[in-house]
Amino acid sequence: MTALMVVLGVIIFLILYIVIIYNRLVKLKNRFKNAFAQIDVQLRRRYDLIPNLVETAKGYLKHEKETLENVIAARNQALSAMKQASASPDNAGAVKALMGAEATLGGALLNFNALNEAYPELKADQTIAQLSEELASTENRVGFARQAYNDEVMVYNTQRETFPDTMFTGMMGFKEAALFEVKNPEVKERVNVSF
Amino acid sequence: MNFFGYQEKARRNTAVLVVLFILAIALITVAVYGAVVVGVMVGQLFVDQAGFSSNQLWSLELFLWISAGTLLVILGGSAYRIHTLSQGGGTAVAQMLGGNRLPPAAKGALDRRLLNVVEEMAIASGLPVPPVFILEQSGINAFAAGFTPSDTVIGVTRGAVELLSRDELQGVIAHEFSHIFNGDSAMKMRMMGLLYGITLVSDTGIGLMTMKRSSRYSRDRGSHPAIIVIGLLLFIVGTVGLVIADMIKRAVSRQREYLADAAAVQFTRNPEGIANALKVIGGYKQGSTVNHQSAGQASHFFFGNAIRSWYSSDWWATHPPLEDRIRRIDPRFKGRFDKVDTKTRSFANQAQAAVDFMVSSGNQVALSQVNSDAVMAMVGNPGPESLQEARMILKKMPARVRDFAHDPYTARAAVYALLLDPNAKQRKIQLDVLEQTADPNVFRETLDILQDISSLSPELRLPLAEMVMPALKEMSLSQYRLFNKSVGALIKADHQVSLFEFSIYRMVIRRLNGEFGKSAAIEVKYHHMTPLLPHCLVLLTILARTGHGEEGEAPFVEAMSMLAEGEHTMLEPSESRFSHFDQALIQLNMAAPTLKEMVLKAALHCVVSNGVVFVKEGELLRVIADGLDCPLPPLTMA
Repeated sequence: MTALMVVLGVIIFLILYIVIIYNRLVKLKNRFKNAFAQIDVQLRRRYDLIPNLVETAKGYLKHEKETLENVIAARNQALSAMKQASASPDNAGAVKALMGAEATLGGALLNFNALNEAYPELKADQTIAQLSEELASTENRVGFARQAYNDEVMVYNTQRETFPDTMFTGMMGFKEAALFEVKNPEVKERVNVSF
Repeated sequence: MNFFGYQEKARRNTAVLVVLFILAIALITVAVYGAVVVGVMVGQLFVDQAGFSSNQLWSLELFLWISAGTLLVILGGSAYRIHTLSQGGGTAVAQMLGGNRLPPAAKGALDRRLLNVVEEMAIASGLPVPPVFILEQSGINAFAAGFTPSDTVIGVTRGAVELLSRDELQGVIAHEFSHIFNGDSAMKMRMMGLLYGITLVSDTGIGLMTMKRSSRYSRDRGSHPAIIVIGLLLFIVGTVGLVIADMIKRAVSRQREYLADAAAVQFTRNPEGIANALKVIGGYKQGSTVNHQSAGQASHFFFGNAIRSWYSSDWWATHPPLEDRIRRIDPRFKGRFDKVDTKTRSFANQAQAAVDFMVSSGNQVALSQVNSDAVMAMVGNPGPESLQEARMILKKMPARVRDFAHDPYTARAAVYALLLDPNAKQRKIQLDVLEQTADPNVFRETLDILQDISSLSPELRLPLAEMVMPALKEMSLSQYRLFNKSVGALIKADHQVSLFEFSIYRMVIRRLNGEFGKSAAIEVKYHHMTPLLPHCLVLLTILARTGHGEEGEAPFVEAMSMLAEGEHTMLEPSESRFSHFDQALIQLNMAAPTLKEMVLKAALHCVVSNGVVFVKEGELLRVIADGLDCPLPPLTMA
């Protein structure tokens, strides 16, 4: 009789313990997923601004079609990557793909900004100046949202790897979440065309 | 009955709940014992060399063992659940139900409409704007959860967002807010914590049963039948527990729904809104169903019946039947539901939401003509006038400031800008400090919005502090710490804490504690006025001095005489600093609701005694009401 009770007690204790571990991880997972929604809002804002910017700049930059097309292409790619990532922020692959697309877009934008120096009339345009300013502010907001997200991911990943949670995470399907890092985009060498 | 009466009643209901809970545990323990005895007897029929050979019906030893085990599971489970709930507040419930936080800066037309409705309702009632969660469910439902106003969240299903018109949505949101005012949300949180222990028995039972089933393939000769018996036993007992848990929930929950419906009509003075929302649920195929594994545990939080179960008779439901609820609001209702054309409805709502909502010029209540009784009646009971007023406030708020307040990145800048002194010299010192402590980009944003915020008309300043709450709650812990530090440094920068600075600090930081710290409900510690009198002295001294300067003696004495007999003199300035004020509010918040009512009434009397409410007094009154967790609607100030 006593043996039976002890077995029963141990089983109940184990189940309770696993429930606690599970709930804690779910909570942390929800937190970073919610934090991702913030990045989503800001990136969307940014992706909305870029076509306006390019459209306004088009008038000045008849000969820089390629750079403009690159920006738009990179923006579209980033937008679709973001849609995928925001559907499942716990999918590390999707988040990493978004990170890659963002880096490409950052590079394209840098090239675009470099044009500012080459075309003084572009720099002087009021609309362009305003849009660039807004884009820069959005950049900061993205950074802030990303920081919040990374903080939450870090807490989740740490908990996930802590003993005894780490014994069950695989079984319960808690995968490692990806940090959202941006590598400094490299400015592509502008090709100097000489005749 | 007013706000304070309902709060008091909610507290008593919680006491009833605890008694029922103890009763339930006793019943379950007996049930477990019975099941074990029967199980063992049945087990003996199959196995003769059994490890257990009891055929007695009553054995004290066995009973004690079983009681200890059951109590351990239930109490342990409850304690654990209440602990996690008090850590997470309303957010924990929303996330448990699979809710996603709607970003305060969301741009979608329908999302924006929902956020506007919640914001209006919060400002109209004087509550911090709660974060909004979306449940991706096609059923039409909503809930409010949280221990205190500062950790409360609102959850709404996708179906409700898409299928309800603005008026209907407003009715539903008003219903949820009334749960907050009546103290239902806090009571439901405790109820969920207590009941978790009971449902845990059933969860364990089901877990054991399924575990047994899945391991059947791997075992070769058949394990000890005891395991099977145990699984079966726990399942039986679990079911008993579930039934009892449902009975308790039903006992407490149903009446509260009628009350909240009635309150929603009172707030919006638009019976059609909530009645139509209920009719839409009735005519909609999915109704108010929420398909989520935790919906059962949280069914008592919802606006409508969230679970469809096999015992779907009225007797067991957590909510009264739809027909009854509608008939109480709209007596002409015939009990027939028109089929809901989801496509047309959702399209019409999309189109309507895209059009900016129109605001008619409000008929404002000038406080100078209102006596303190009328204002007291408004606590936790915002009428349509308050709603109108809130709309006016939101309309008057410059669009740029509103955008700033809704974004977690810039919301901090808005708070910093609010805290800057109008005096140029002081402001310079503050800005220098801010530049050193805050994030450089945020500092730039602060300079950017500074002009707009300092030119804000005074009555918009506290509502702005309320609007930034959901955005601020989006910060991560480390970001919050930096923010908290900067705010502290900003206030202390000029070595002079102004009343307004203090008010903002207190409101904002106290409410963020719900998100970033522990948010357990406030325990009632005081049932008599006597130990609270020194704190009341501090409160009323500061209030009288702020509003009436040196002539504050008379209103102060009048107000004090409402609280206690005898001679009272105003405190010296050295005895009534902000640190004393802060301490006084903390202590007074632990008073029983009826005592809070007296204190607030005295404070109000002190303010309106000369017939004019100055902005400073009005703001201070709001801070006091906020500190006592009493939602006081915005007042028109001279």
